[in-house]
Amino acid sequence: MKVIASYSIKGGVGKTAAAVNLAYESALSGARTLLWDLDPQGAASHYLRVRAKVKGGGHALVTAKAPLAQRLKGSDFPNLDLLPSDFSYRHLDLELDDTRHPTTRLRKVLAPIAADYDYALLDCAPGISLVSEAVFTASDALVVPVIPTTLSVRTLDQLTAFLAEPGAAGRPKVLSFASMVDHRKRLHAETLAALARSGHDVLATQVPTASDVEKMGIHRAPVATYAPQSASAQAYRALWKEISSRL
Amino acid sequence: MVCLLVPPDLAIEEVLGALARSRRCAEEPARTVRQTWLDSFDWRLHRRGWTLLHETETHVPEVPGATLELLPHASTGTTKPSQPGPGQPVRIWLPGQSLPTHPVDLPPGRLRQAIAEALGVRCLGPVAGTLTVRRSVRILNADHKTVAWVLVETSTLSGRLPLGTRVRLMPVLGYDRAALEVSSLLEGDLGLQSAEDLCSAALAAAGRRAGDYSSKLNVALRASQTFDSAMRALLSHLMCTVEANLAGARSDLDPEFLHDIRVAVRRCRSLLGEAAPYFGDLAEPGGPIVRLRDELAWLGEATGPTRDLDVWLVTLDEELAGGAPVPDELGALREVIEERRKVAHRRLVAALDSPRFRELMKLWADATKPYSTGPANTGPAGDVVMTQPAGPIAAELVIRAHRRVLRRGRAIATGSPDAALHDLRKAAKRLRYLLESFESLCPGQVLDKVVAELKALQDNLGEFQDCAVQAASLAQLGRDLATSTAGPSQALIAIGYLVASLETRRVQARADFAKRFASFERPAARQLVTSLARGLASDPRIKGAK
Repeated sequence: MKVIASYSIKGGVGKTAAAVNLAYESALSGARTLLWDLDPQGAASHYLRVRAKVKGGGHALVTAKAPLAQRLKGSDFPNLDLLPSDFSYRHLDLELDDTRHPTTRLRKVLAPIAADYDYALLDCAPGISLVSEAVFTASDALVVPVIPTTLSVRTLDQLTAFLAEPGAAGRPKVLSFASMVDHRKRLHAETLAALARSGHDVLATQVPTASDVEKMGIHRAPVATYAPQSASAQAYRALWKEISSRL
Repeated sequence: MVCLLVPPDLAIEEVLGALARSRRCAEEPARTVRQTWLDSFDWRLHRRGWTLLHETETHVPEVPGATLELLPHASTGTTKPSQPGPGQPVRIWLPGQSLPTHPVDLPPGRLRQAIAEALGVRCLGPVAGTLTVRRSVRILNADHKTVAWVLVETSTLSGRLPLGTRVRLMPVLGYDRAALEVSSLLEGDLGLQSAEDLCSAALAAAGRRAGDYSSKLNVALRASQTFDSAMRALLSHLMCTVEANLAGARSDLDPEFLHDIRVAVRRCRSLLGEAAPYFGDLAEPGGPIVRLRDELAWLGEATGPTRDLDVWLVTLDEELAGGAPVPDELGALREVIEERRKVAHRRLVAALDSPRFRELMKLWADATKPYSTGPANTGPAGDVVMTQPAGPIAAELVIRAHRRVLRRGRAIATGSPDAALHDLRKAAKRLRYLLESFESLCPGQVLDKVVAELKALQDNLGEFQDCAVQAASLAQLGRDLATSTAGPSQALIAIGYLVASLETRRVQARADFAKRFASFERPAARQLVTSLARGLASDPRIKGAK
């Protein structure tokens, strides 16, 4: 099982939309896919109409008190299952800190179901914390949405610098992509050009800013299910092809 | 998954109404779908416990496509809790509506990989087809999340023969309670009974069943059956195997059709040869058994060139997959061999379409008729044996074939010619075919042990002979190409590489032979064959080979 985290230090960059739509595309391709909603806000769970509640909360998951498989929920789509969010995940840092090897804990939590799925996508909360470090150790790749703005690019710099530090937890591939792109904005065009020259591993696919993505909250489903011909749906499909070919 | 049959006196609307009254539901628009179940000719997916379903809409949608689903064999039991993992179906969407025939027709991924591993060199083909009107009902919770699916499906065999209406209840992972409640409604309140799954029903309606073809010689003989009757059953089975594979071999769908024909021909020829002393006048020169054997030899020769080229292609592909250092050259040789194979296949089809082949099949059919009505059937001692029980005669044949293997093997020394090993290989094959023919009369555990001992020897002899023959044939191809004006140099380099590789394997097999044969002829292994023959004849006094 390949583990891919949709991650960014910055919030509001399209992490959850990416995680849900990429997981859907993965499942559509025939890969058995698990989406783990690690964000206590539970937006990914909400998008898939699954109640953001896990029996025993984050504590039970981290301490492996019950089999993970019993907490999984099937989505409305073939090949796609969800490990829902739980509001107690806001204390996940503390729960991990109570374990002996906190940064390897999430990898151990996923181990029992590793043979059951081809891909696990983790939808992470913004910020950089002990949970983030556990995500880095568990992941084969971090998919980092970057809005073409200076602050967003700056957090990508911060992330790569952190991962390059000696003794950093995990060495996942960092695959960034331009998110919420508006080509009418000159700033976006200039920032994208600068990003291309920056030396970061930037994927070719760009996801445009679009109301179709915002409507995920209304439809509570991946974009491709209600707007299959939209630019956003096409972009997520191309993005998944690009990411899966890089793993 | 639960599969239930809607009785003819219960209207579909009553089922849907009962669901709507008890649960929050959403019905999708009704669809008519064409369902085609795919498998290899010899049911390789079925044997792994899988069913492969290709489904298309009957009206061509805006974006033409199909779904392909690999799922475990259908269960007709009660609701089982859904579990994630390999037991769960894998479904993908395919662009276009044509049926896939080879794994390369599928997008890369787990489904393609699983199918490719199961199929080997075989291709996919349709085994059953239905036309189904489907009404899908989603069972929803308060968030309008689907917690179970109920599919009400009215099917016909390819639009003709009615196959009834089924209700399929499909649980969603993590929502088992909802599925149990719906199951209770369908099975309890509405009284629906478990149904045969649609694929099995479609097969049955077409006069088939899953797994109804195997290349194995699985003829169930009875201990009381006469030798005459047993022989007819075996010859008939082998003839049916050839007939079943003719269309696939002509169409060149995959190489196994031809391979199965050749194996059936060899088995039949070997069986007739072994049993010749018991056929009496029928096996005299010019008699029908001798003529049939001769014609089977002709068919073996007529099918040989295509099969040899198939084996070369497989060898090339294995070398390419194994990271051979000359991939471009092997690719060039592959093109040359493919061209030659096209020519060889055209000749093969001409042979299969020839009057001689039709005459051969008539001879074969005649051989499956009762012998006792023909000339006197006397055994080696002059007594009439064809009407005696098959077991003791089979035991005699096995003992004799075993002695032949031991005699030929013991005559082989370090400097013996290759032909001596080839003769031993043929003797070992004849023994193996006898064991397969009378498998149903043999004591099972002893048979498995005897076959394991024999197989170890056959693998060694097969490796030696195949490498020797392939190297010689490739060397000849190389000479042909070298003298032709258009002889591609890359292909010649590949031939040099392959011949060297085959020669290394041949030498190794020759070096291993003594050890393998010593194991086969050790007293414990010989005693196994004696025990087997005693079991076959139900006679503990039978003496085996020394």
